Amino acid sequence: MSDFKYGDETISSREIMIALPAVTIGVGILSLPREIALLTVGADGWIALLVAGIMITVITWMTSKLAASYPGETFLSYSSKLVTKPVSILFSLILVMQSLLLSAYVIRVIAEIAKAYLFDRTPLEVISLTFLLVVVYAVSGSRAGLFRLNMLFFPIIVLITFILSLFSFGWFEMDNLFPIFETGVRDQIKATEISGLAFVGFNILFFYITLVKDTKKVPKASVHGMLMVIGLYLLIFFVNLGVFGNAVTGNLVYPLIELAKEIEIPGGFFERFDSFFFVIWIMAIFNTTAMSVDVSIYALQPFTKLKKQTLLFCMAPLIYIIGMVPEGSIEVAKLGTFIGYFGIISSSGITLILFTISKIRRGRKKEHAAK
Amino acid sequence: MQLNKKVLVFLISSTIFLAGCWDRVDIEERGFIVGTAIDLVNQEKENEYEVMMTNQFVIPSGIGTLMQGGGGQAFMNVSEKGTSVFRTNRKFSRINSQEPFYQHLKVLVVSEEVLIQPHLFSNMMDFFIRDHALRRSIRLLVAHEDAKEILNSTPENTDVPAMYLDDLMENVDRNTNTIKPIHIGEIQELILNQQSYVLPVVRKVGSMAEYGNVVVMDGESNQMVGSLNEDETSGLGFINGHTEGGVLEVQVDESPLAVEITKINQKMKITNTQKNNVEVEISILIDGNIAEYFGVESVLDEKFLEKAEASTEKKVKELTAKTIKKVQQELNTDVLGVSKNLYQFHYDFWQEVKEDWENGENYFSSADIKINSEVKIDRVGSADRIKMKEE
Repeated sequence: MSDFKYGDETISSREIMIALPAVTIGVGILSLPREIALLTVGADGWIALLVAGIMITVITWMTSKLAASYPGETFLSYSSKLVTKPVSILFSLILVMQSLLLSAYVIRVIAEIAKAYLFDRTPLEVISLTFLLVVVYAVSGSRAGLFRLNMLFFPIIVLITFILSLFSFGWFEMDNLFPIFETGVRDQIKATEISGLAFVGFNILFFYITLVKDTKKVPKASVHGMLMVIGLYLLIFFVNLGVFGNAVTGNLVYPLIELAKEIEIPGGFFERFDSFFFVIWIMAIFNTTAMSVDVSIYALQPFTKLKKQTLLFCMAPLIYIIGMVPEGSIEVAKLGTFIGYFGIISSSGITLILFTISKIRRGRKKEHAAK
Repeated sequence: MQLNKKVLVFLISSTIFLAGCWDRVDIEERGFIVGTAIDLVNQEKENEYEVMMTNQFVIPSGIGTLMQGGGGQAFMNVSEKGTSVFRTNRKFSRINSQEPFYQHLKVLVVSEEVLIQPHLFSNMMDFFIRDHALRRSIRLLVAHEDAKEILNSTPENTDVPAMYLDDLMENVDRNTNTIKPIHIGEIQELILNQQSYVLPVVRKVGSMAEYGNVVVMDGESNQMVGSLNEDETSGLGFINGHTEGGVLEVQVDESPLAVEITKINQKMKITNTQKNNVEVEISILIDGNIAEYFGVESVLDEKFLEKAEASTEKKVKELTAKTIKKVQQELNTDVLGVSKNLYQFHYDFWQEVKEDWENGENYFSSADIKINSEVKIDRVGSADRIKMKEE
């Protein structure tokens, strides 16, 4: 392994930039246009989406700034400097839990969707398990390799989104975007809150920035990463609204999948665009799951002193069981909402606490130095 | 060797997941459904109806190949009765050994009797919108008589009626009274928006089907309230863009002239928003060619073209006036798209009047709708005159 050129477990800031959208974009956006459209009038929801995105981007910047100011140190080590050791362990476990729950939720949703649209009779449990096994296989390999897999898949995901938008043009009606600016402030705030949930996943920054050699560019890179997410989300939202209109978008379970089903590219082979879209989107969901499983393994390792693979084989059944707990699509959706809130509140909270303390400490140090 | 054993155990156990495929269905065992018809059988109770569903299955051997013609009929129509679409669909399995496969469903024909009942149409559509296997691009047609008869129309040059109907709807730009086909995805939008709409009609003529004209549906009960004839449908097409083209026959100095429409653009503007005096201005821009002329004037003459344009403009105004009169006075349903425009650009005003638009105070009927039409004739064909003036 050691003579393998890219075998060293370090990554560049560019890989952080891609990892962020790779983790964030997954199952959330499939149903997000519905949730926003239900609360807003016309296409007003873009404001909520943008505001939520920018807020999360600011938090992301703080997270990466914080982690980057302790180059080479793990989350446990730098956070115990700021808050005490027990608190930092608690924080660490909260962040791990978040990733574990997210991966459990995602393997469940992908199975639900695949069952509904692709495999009518295959049991849900089997689809989930198959998917999880692939994820486990990917995670048990090199971590840097996983990042490179992100780099490989992400452009394809962006490309398919652009192709989808391009071919939706024939169905796009400008009229559907009107009326504009008619949504009440309270609904906008509620929509902002819901949109925020689709941005869960940036907690990976707490741990992965340790692997980056040159941390100077990391904050900027992670902001860029988040901006990519906002851009893609806005594009998907507008195309959905333009093609279906507010009322229909608000009443489709997965508007993005229906969009892929709606468009037909003439010429036989690509006529069934939805199957093509599924393949690519499963790659996006695979990235989300693989990264969040990996980050939880990475964060848990210092506590257990187990080998990575051993730990992974212990955690995988746990993820699988959590994923299989909810019964029916309503409970799955509830789990999703819970993970969204839990993820956004805990990651943002931890970032704000650590960032503020570190700023105060630095300020004091400077004062000392000045004296 | 220890490791190899582990690998071996893993590989053997993995065959459990590789051995079978739950969702495999051989193509021979699939019954491809390309068309479905819904007819009303009878009303059992209030809000409970018995409908008859007719599915059209393709028989691949009947279609044959390009080199070798098929033998026998290329399709099979099977009917079943029931109250819900889904259950009725399942009933087909009792008589048909093939597994019904809906992903290639192209045409859905609904009989007028279904549309006349309140809410029945929207109830019938639910399955077609909800089911994952069905595509949103299935096209919908209304049959004046039996819907299942429409699925029997096979002109000599076609094999499968549903495919024939589907192709027929591609010809929308040839006549002004054929509207753009409406697909199931749009139906969801129309029903959800609770605004009145029109659906295209298909009629059986001998062994053929004729596509054209529309029926008018009330937006709230999704119930049919009437239908428009050829002229009224053309007028509607000019107003809200349902039509993509067609031919207008006008008179220029007593000689008939046929104008082929190549492009229609329309713009609706609401100029006054007072409850009892809503003023709507619709401008229709038409580009056309001279396709046929029975007279003797030179069609290259600028004055002649001006006259031709003026009489075409008059014709458009006549057609649209008929439509407006019918939908305002007789049917009292806003299929012109005024309510949509109000919702989009006068949202606050719309919130005030939406309850009393088609019902109650009936602001729609009293709205003043003006039409401005502007016609431009670009081309005159390859000949100027084919006969000279009689001296």
